[in-house]
Amino acid sequence: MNQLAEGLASIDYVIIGVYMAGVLIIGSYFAKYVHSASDLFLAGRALPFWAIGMSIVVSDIGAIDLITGADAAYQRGIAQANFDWIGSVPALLIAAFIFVPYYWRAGVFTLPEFLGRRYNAGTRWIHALVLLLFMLGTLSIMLWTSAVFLNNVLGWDHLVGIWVTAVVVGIYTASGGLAAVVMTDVMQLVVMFVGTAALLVLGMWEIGGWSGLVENILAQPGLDQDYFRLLLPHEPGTAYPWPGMVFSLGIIMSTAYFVGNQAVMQRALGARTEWDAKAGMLTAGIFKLLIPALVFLPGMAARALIPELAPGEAAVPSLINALMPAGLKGLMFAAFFAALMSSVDSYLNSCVTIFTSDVYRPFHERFVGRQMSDLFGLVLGRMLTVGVLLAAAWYAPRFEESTTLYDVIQTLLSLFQGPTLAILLLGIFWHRATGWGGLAGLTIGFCLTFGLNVLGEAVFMSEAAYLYVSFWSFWFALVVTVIVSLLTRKEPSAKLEGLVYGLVISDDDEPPRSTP
Amino acid sequence: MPYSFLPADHFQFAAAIVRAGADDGSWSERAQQALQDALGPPIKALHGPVDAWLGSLPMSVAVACTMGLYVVAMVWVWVLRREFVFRGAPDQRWWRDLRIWSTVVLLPYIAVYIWLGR
Repeated sequence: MNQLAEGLASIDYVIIGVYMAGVLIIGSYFAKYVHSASDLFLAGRALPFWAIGMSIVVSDIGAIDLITGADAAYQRGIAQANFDWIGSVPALLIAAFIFVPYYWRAGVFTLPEFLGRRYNAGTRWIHALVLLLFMLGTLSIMLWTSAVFLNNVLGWDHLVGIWVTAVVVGIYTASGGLAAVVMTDVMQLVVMFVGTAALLVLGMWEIGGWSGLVENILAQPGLDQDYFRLLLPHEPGTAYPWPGMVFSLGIIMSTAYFVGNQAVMQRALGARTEWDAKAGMLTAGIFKLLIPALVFLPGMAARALIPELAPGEAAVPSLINALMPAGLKGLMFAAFFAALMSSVDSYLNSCVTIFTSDVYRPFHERFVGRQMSDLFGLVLGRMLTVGVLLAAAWYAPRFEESTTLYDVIQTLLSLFQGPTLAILLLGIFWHRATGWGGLAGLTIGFCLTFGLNVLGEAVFMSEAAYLYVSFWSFWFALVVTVIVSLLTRKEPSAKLEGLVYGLVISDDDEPPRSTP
Repeated sequence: MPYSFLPADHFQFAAAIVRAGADDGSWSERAQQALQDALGPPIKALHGPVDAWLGSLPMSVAVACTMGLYVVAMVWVWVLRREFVFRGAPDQRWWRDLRIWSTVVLLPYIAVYIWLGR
């Protein structure tokens, strides 16, 4: 990232300043529409499809992805694009037409709440706890990334960088809630796309277009036609073998990621109609088509223009320094910051939603003896937004020494992916799936995934063992859920109403709405 | 899904948890061996033949499978009931038909995989 700060002109700093002020103003504007917890967490269920789609895409792509994704494309070529193409579109379609209608009609605030209604409190708690840990850890490391970024660009001390980001994001997230998060995401998507498109155009112009890129790269020693192939053979040593890409990433991993991720699904839950929720997922699919061009293609252009990167140098910063004039550099910085902030605000809002809805609410109902009021939920949500930010900002500097905690949390989440998809799918399509079945599928599936990870390459004989681990863990959790469900007592039909295929609410009925 | 979310490193980390201390013959070494004994044979029996079969297939099958995934998705959305697709839409004009949207979304992906897949 240090490379990025070289040669910044005054105009670049002005652009960065204008961008940050713009985000703060737009975000804070939406505070006037927030009068209840539903407004804070689900934007009053008034989000239009275009905002949902754009927000999903920009929340999904972080500043780290802009750098590491381009670096991976620099090394391995266009096969990297699979993660945004085959790793997104079939999953978004499945999400739009299978999962989103059930989530939206159930009127829930969170995915753990959906699992709790369909299965039992244990399943809800485990899922909520894993998501909470993941989001808190991610939030913390994102604040640290932001601090490193601001230190390199503006020379600010790390602590100052962390607190400035926390205050800017905190102000509009606490006051404007999901509506502010989504609408600033829309602005951030535009900034990110314009910045990265400028870099792509300059890079491709310099290299002589697509044909120049191909010609130049194929002339480099050690690189062949595979650099320009999306599907690579199923051989030992291949980083992305095609069966793993198509069957595991394309069907299992990406679907589990999109339908089991609160930060993604919260936008659909806040849609003004079921149609907007579904159309939002498809809109995300349209924008996803452009991500590889904007993120990975600059990495490949860097390979053509700068074949030998110095140790520690990254592809995109090198390309920016080589090609971008003053003014455009500032735009590129704003694009990086947009990618960063859009992820921070999304995870913050979703984290607080889960905390309020799945952790605090059951305690409130049990010990106070009545449901939480909407106004209380709003005040609590705002206080928790500040509290969660403080906790994440307090922990963030510790990532300078070690990222072990983040690795543990990420590992934990990845181990739950296959099993979570299995119980969600059975929960929606199979009436006979029971609470105990779901709980067993989730926990035993988790244990098996851990075991398979330990065996890893020894069993799967592939550099990409994780692709096959996800595949098998999904099927294993599916089988466990079926067996335990058949051995336990059937759920009453009243409990399944609106949550299972064939027992949906009729078109004329207003969906039930839960309180946070 | 985002590249940074890839669990490759995390899986290595999970393995490292159990492998930690393996040099001194501690519990982790025994745990790893036990896992290897318990899970290795059945997983190899399931995955091995599939792995060998997939390795023997020509790359044209890879392109066909990818196309198949996209085409099946495209056909599937056209099988969905019209009322389900339009539920919640302000009207039923053709441009609000999400089946058309899905086709429009999928076609560029199909074109890209035909171009760069083989």
